[in-house]
Amino acid sequence: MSHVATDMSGETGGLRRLGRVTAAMWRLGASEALAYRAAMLVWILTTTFPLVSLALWHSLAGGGAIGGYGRAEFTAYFLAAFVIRQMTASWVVWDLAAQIASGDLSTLLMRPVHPLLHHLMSNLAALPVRMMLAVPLGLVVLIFVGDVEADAGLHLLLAPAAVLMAWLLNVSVQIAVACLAFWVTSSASLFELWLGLYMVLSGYAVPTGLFPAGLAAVVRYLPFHAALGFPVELTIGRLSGPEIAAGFALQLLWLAVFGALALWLWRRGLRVYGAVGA
Amino acid sequence: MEPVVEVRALCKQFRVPRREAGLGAALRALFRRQYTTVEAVRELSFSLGAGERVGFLGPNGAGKTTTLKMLSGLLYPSSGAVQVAGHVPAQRAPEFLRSISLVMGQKRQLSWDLPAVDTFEFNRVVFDIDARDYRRRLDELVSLLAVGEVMRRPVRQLSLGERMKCELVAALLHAPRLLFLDEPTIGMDVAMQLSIREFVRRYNVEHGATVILTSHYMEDVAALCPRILVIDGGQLRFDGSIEALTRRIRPLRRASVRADSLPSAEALAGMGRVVEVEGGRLVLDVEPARVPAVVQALIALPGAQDLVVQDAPLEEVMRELFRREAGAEPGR
Amino acid sequence: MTAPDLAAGTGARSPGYYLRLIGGQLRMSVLAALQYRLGFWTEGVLGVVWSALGMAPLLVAVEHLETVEGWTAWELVVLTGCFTLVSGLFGALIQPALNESMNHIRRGTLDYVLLRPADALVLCLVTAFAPWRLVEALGGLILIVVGMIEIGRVPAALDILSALGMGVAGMVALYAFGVMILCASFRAVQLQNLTFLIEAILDFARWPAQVFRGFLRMVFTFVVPLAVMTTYPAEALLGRLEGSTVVTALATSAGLMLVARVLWLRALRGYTSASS
Repeated sequence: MSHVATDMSGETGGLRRLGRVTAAMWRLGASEALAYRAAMLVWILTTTFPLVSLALWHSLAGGGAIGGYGRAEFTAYFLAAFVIRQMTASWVVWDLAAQIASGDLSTLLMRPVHPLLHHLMSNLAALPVRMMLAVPLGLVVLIFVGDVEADAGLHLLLAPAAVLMAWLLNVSVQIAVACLAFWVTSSASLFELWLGLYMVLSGYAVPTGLFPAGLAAVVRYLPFHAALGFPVELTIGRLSGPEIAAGFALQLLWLAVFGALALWLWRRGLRVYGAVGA
Repeated sequence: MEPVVEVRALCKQFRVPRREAGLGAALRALFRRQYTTVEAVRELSFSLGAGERVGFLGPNGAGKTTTLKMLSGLLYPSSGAVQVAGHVPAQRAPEFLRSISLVMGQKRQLSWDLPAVDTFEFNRVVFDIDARDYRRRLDELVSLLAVGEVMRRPVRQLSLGERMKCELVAALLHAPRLLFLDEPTIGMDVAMQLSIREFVRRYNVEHGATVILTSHYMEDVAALCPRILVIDGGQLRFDGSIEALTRRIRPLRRASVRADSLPSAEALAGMGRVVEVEGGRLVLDVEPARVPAVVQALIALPGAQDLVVQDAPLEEVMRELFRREAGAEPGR
Repeated sequence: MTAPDLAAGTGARSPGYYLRLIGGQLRMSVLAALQYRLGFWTEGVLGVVWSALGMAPLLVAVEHLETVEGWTAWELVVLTGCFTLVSGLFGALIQPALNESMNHIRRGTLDYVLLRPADALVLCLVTAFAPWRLVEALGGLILIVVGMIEIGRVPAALDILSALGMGVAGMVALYAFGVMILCASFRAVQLQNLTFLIEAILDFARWPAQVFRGFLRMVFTFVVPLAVMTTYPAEALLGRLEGSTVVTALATSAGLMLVARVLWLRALRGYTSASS
């Protein structure tokens, strides 16, 4: 880990120091991400699920549009889902849970940087590498499939915000689940529960708008949709103004809920962790 | 007599990816991986007779465990010849695998959640052990190691020593002709070490099984192995008895005594090289030929007691051995 | 380089021995599973729930379209039953063995597995089972039966035989991929994550092979034969499978297993064993 200079000169000094430390952690995270390029590749391959779904629905829509999605719209949807999934993914849950279980968390706690921040940085640092591998793949598919129907407009400016919130939401959920490891041994399998529901209810496997009417309305209120379906639909321009506002509100709501839950579990968990003397 | 283990010019190299620190280096490594070759074992040659107890000694990373694994057939040699019990280990012939056993102190073969006895039963199936032989051997091993009650509890509830005893039972159920032990007493208290040591010796004597032991605990090796092979940097540095090694490296005997008053510095210089003079206790290294005279002088000291004459401790001998090598091959 | 001896390390071991070995391992796995009685719920029942949940996209498609590539709703139920059966068997037989083998590699205890006097690959592939997942397989069987009853068709003996043959071919293909991933994980522990890849791809076997066109269709028939695992058995039961397809499917699976075996022998040669 690169040298962290201790700067005692008060507030601005503290901020400068935080900036330096954050940059150092980012560099370290990026190096680690590159070192595990095999894992990266595997990750990318695993999350090409939307691209195969694309082929699937593209073919199914051959006889005509399905619920407002024609072939071109499906293409746009799943390509966006692929890229946004890559951008909002994290694996904090496995890393953190493992660290808690093995006691390795202690080393992180002794560093002058908050462990959660460390994990956030690691995740972000891997983003360029993930993009480097994912974007070419997406482009190839785009060229291969050909027709794409998406609206380019002002809403695109809002897309980054939605993606950022989705990422934070995912991370919060993962941290909350990981913190359960302070009390329970198999918290990772609880996350698999979440992941299973996510695959179906977030719009990953099929746009939530295609669910039967009543069901669709309910599903679109859930945090899963806020974590993927909403940013995707926003990006390809399928949402009206009011719908965009509602979507952001929901994202904020779920982020607040899971963020608070994560922090609360973290604090309670640390107390237990210390008590056991791991 | 046909040696049971025959090793000739054995070599093992590993290709290890070389990774330098820094983001730039990591980026470059993405496109072009660079490897270095690590020579774990170099031109090793030795042979062992049936029923011998042999110790492998050497610093960490010297190639001891790599050699053991090649003898077990787990690793393919890069070059050279290995023959164990008439087989080439790497071919993994079933009869070969049934005639050896490897016990690694840091890794367990027992199933964690179940009682050890379930793993024993499983091994009976795996090694195709005849039911009657199995019963007989199980009873013998269980009584020798006193694990009759312990083996019925889930393994995760056992202490380190109890676990290792059960591991030994599991390893010996199929009556192997060769027993390879890799750090078997690591992390154990002295009492447990002693009992494991005693068990291995007894097993070797009663069943004639050849034993190869690697251990960081010199006492294990010193007590158990009449013959040692010193391996360092993948090469064989010494093959023979501990006494022979000690004579060669540290021929001086160590004499220690407690007395009310000790001789003057000049008198001491005349007896031998002083190692320690403190609080009424004297330790000095003496040339073998002069030991009788020195002993007489020390006994004659007022209030003399606890007179001991022994060879230099094995640890110091080893340290001296490696120091000499480091001096001889500065560029290694 | 001389041709690898495919039977290397098997020695003179009778099939009876291997059956006993599998039996012994099964006993160990069942004992361990019974220790963890919650497993009936977390692995068994939850497995069925997952399968049900995974049907969602298919249900959406059926709701909007009358038939999916010529498959009616109840025919799709039979297909889903085949999928659930394969998925359950995969989870009960292949996945646990793969995971346990990879755990062994990570912990360095694969050495002990390799020291057993039998073929190393077979040893790795039977090193653990998850009996509770058979609940899911049972669920799949029930779906198949229900679907066939609703369609009102009793499959001929030959149909059943073909379906079984295709099912076996599908499992062999899955085993082959498992072995390939295991070999990869010898070199880089991170590649163990490829098992997630199998699970993710397996999910696409829910759909009739006809849904995939062109390039993907080729891939899903010959490279990662999802079609063989679910579509072909279902078609066999529905009396729609041609003999030539059966032959090519069997050949594909056999080919994959051969490749896997060769890769395995290579991996064993280069085995480095975690350092102590």
